[in-house]
Amino acid sequence: MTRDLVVQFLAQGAQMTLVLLIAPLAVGVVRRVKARLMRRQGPPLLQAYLDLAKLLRKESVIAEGASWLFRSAPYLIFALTWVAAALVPSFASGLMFNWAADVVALVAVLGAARALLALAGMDVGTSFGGIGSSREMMIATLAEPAMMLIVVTLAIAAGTTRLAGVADFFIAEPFAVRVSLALSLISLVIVALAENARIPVDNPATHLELTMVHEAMVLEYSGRHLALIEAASHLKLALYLSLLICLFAPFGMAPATAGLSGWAIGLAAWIAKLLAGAVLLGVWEVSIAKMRVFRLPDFVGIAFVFGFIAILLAFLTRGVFA
Amino acid sequence: MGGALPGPGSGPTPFSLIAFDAARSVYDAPVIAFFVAIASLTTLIVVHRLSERRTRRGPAWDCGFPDPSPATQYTASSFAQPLRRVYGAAAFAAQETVVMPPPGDMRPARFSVVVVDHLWRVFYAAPGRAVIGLSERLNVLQFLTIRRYLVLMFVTLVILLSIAAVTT
Repeated sequence: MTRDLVVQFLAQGAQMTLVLLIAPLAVGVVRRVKARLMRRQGPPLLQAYLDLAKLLRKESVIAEGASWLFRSAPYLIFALTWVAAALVPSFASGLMFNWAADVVALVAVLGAARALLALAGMDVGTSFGGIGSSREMMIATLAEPAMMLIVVTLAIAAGTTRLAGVADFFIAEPFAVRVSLALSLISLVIVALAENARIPVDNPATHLELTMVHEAMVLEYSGRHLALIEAASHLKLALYLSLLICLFAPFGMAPATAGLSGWAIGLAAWIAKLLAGAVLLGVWEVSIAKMRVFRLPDFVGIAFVFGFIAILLAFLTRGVFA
Repeated sequence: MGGALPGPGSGPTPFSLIAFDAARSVYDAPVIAFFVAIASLTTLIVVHRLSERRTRRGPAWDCGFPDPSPATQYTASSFAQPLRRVYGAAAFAAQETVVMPPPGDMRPARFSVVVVDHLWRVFYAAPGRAVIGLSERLNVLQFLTIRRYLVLMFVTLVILLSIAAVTT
């Protein structure tokens, strides 16, 4: 039993390291694809790593009047996002977190990180941090209920809220095309765009005062603190891509009983799908413009409505076919 | 559903919380907390090893902030503004009134919003009104004569004793 626990602990640790290492690459791919589609040369694929290294080498400037919360928040935000990213099965479904937490806990951990970020944004007291925090919370009040509706739909379909369990269910039944799942997919994509501050919700590439959300909150950060916040946002992108992969394209993922060879196949499949997801995100981002902040409720509201319809459909079809 | 829920301790560790059965939903808070603690500590140690440790204090980003006027400060109502705007029509029964003077009229245009917080109305204002109304009615009890107070005490005692006599 103890030896088993140690092996599971090590496998989970390996997965955490892997997610951490690959997240900046996904961001690099998104930036590169966007640049190429706009006929620009674009930064090198590894630019996100170089940026993080540069930020780590620089000294941190902290605003006068910033409290201990401002200094400690980046570490906690990074740690919480990292653990959340580890909760999503990537290459194998039988890891330790498989039985430690379900998708409801994942939403809660991400919510804790978000609350910390909003508090840190307001800590110095500037209007910039404030507008960022209040807009982030406004988006969260729309995106989180939609996320919970998606969770309930999947739980109805697969009979479990464990992510690994849902993935196993869809591996076993790959061709079970359901309307409720298609609606959940659209809904989850919208939630992922909103949560990661991507276009059309927020533009990660600008510092335009009137529209920015995420960048406004972290405006006061510099040096190693900014590096941690940036790394956390990279991790969050990798997390949502992994979540979409795990729930809607889990083929290739190693089941709980697979050995090393199964894990290798799962790893290759996961990396390929993650990078493909990053390419799709890049294409999406050049094909659409940023929305006005107060049109966002309409956009994210679609996710909520789709999630709601998906639940109704899931209940109805279950009653007929189960 | 049916059947009793499994108790704590039936999961992989003694602290697992399990709904229905372990295959459906498990939540193990100590494992999560343990991993958050490990991740925070690792981050702290690694970042402090790798990074430049110097930290400098500087002025905050100057965009209206250093102006000491209250109008430039970020307040609670500033924080609530996007929420109020998004949920205004649905949750707060917001009503906007715009008074636009005709051209040539020198009065300023006025814009006012009336927002009703239903939660406050139902859960705080209504019980508060009930308590105040009740205490105003019971206020007369403060101004009785000693004879009446003695009667009240005597009646209470008789009621209590008769309850005790009936129940024992």
